[in-house]
Amino acid sequence: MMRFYLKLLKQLFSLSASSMLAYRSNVVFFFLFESFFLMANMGGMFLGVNLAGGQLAGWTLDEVMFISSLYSVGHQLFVTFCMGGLFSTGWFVWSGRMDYVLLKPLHPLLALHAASEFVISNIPNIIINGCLLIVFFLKLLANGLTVSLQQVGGLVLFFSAGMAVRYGVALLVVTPAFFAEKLAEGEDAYWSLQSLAKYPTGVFPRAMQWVFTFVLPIATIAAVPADVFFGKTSMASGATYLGTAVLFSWLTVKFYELGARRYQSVNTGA
Amino acid sequence: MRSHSHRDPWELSRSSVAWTTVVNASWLYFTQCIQAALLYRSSLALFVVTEAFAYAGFIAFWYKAAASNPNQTFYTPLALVLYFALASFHHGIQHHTSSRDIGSDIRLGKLSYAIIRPFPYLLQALLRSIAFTITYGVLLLPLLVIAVKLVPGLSQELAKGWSIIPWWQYPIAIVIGIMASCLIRIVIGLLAFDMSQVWGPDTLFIALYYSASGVIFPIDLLPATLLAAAQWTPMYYMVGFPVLTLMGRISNTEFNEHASRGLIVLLATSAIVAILWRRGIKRFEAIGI
Amino acid sequence: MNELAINIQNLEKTYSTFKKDAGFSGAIKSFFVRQTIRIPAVKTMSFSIAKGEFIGLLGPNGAGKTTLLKMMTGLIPPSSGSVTAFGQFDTSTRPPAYLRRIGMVMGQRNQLHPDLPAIDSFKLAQAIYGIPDEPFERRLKQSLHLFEIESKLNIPVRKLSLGERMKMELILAILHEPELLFLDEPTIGLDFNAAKQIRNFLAETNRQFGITIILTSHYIKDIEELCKRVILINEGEVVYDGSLAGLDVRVQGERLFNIETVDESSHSKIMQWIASSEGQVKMTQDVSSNEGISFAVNSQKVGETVKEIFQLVGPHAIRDMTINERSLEDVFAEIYSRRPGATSVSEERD
Repeated sequence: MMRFYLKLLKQLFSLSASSMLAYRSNVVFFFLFESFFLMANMGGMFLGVNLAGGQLAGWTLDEVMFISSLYSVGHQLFVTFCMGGLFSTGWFVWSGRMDYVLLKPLHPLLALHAASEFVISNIPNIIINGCLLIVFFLKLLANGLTVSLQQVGGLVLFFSAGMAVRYGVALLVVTPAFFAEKLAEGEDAYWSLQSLAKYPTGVFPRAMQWVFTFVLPIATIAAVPADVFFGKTSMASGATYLGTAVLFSWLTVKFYELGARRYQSVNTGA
Repeated sequence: MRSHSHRDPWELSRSSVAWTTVVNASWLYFTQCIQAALLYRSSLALFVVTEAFAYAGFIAFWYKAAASNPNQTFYTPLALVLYFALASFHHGIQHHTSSRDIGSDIRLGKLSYAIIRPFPYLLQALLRSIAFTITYGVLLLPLLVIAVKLVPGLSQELAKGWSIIPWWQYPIAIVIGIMASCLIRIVIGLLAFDMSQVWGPDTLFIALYYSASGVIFPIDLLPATLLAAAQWTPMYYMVGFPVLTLMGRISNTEFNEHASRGLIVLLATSAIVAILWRRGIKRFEAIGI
Repeated sequence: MNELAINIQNLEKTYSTFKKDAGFSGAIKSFFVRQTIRIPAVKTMSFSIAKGEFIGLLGPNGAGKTTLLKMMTGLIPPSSGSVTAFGQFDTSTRPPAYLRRIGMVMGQRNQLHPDLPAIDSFKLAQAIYGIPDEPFERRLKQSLHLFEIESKLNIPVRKLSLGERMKMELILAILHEPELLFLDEPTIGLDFNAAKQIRNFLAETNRQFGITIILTSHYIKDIEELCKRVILINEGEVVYDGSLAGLDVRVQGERLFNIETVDESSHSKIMQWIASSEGQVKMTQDVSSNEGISFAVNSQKVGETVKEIFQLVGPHAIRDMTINERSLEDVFAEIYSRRPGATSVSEERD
């Protein structure tokens, strides 16, 4: 079974690379896009923390930048491996192309990714953002930060949970396409919702903090992993965050499966 | 006659079509675009709810930032709330997918239908963009009004800005903004004549838009040189310019300078549209899938 | 009795959609208050398909053919009733084991990646269905050869002609050696040669591998050459289920009269005569005064019919009269024009 999935993954990579490289300019555009996007985000955070006088909600500028970099790495991973498939949902359902997806003998989400592409051109941006994360980490180390192996492990674990939450948020906003006459706004809705994940949770009013932790747990995307990494959260809280993230992601997958079962294929494609 | 008409990207000089026909057809097409947008209520609802959600977060961050530092006077917390309430409205009304629509018309061959009709294709694209702008404007305006009424002090903050600018400044600013948004998207869409896929340039545009429009941070917080550079891009006019105008953060002299630069940007963008259209239509292969 | 590929019991499907009045005011009204309407696409249907059959599913546009096909594949769930495949799968749950055994091609929808050569999509299908290299290569080579498109394998799909693209779509659908193949208008828009090649390919696939094929098409040629059994659907109901030969008897055994009269009274007399013929003479289309009357009679009774008409109105009352063999299209049109249910035709099957 493992061999089957590996072969499928390899083929998907190959197909995505062929498709992306068929349009060589994509590589350049993606690089430029993400560079500007990164600058805009980092610049915004820098301006905000500067306006606040160099510290915001108990976080220093370097710590805030670390959270932003962590958020950006997750963002680039999502763009590369998840975006192509998930954001095709609305268009596929509306145009009837979902027919062929659902006829594949695979889980509907796996079939969806198989019918679309990985954004291979974006891989350089994962590396650039990864480097940026390391730069801010080294800067924090130079300023006296000490981290244990346990904290690094916690960062990896919670970052993975954050990726699952990202995926879940995307599922949450694209799945209504199965139930609506037309829903092509899933992508924009996702970008809007996840854009809040790059801030330390403490900047939000209490009610929003609660929502971002337990209802739409986007805090797990970057702020909570950073909390764990900097030792700012207890094990009990960490376990709660983790449980919420897993539950949220599982529920969104079930929601998507329900949507796929309710699929009403259109007769005239576009 | 056809080859002549391709020299005029808007094809308004096409002698076989009376201008009244173009106006009537334009009006009908325009209202039908609005109707199409209104049909998909869940799309509109999802967009409005998630945008409101995102801006609530933005506002919380910037409010906290301004409130954390009593020594800074550039932006009061309330002014920042107003900035993002207005920015979200301007961002929302210019949210449309014209560039991808034009790109797919060209790439998938649907342009073939459009160019054999005696009605200018680019005018259709422009009308489609404006129709969506108005639809979203009508939907988002009540939310903006509610936000301004509900947040204590916000209506006074808005009135303060409005009272110090001549009434005609904001309409000029918003028209320049909407035209800049439509034209730049047409430029990106027309790249499909050369590039097969336009989502590369389209995403690049979005990144530049985030950097230079003032949609994710108050644009006048940028250092002076970067702000001056932003003013030579269409993105600044899409959000930053109308919002700063409405808040009274731009003096009359600055307004005249910015509006003049905006008009130059619009003219330059129109020229690019013309060049891309003339070049593209000659090499259009009318391949369909 | 052959083992069943598909068994349909009391199948129904009703769609919900909404109505919008014309114009801007209609759009505003519909934005706030939406009038939902329910459209019965498939009304109670029951039939079965044996393994190895080649079935033609026919009907006018909107008859419910594609909806039926999609319920058979499992793409859409029925409102009530069931579709059981291979005696074990409830298709509405789309079990992967069932999906591995079927293939589908929709003439108006593409599965191949438009920007890449077809070989890339074939390789992906190989990975999805877990097809070992040897049978994959063999079947691909065979299919390409049959279609004579070996040279097109490495050209981006969007640069292929419609015919070439459809051939590639068909190859993609059979690479995993499905036991059941659903084809929704695979020859739509194709030229004579391309359609012919596709028909040959399908006939060969059905004969050589025993694949059960269910085909919808509006082209009589497809049906005549390929399908031994046809199911005619109209307004969501089966109006004929039987052999093509059964319909052919009617084609061969009937002659179609078309008569134009010079005056209204002659027209009325002929109409009355048809009405009093007790089913011996069958009207084949609606008529209006002096526009012509069309009816069919048994081929043995042509002379007798001409004589009776001349006696009835006299030769000078006839402006024009033609007598032709009936075509399959005529027979289909006649069956479609009947109210479903009231005049269902069915043939006893083994």
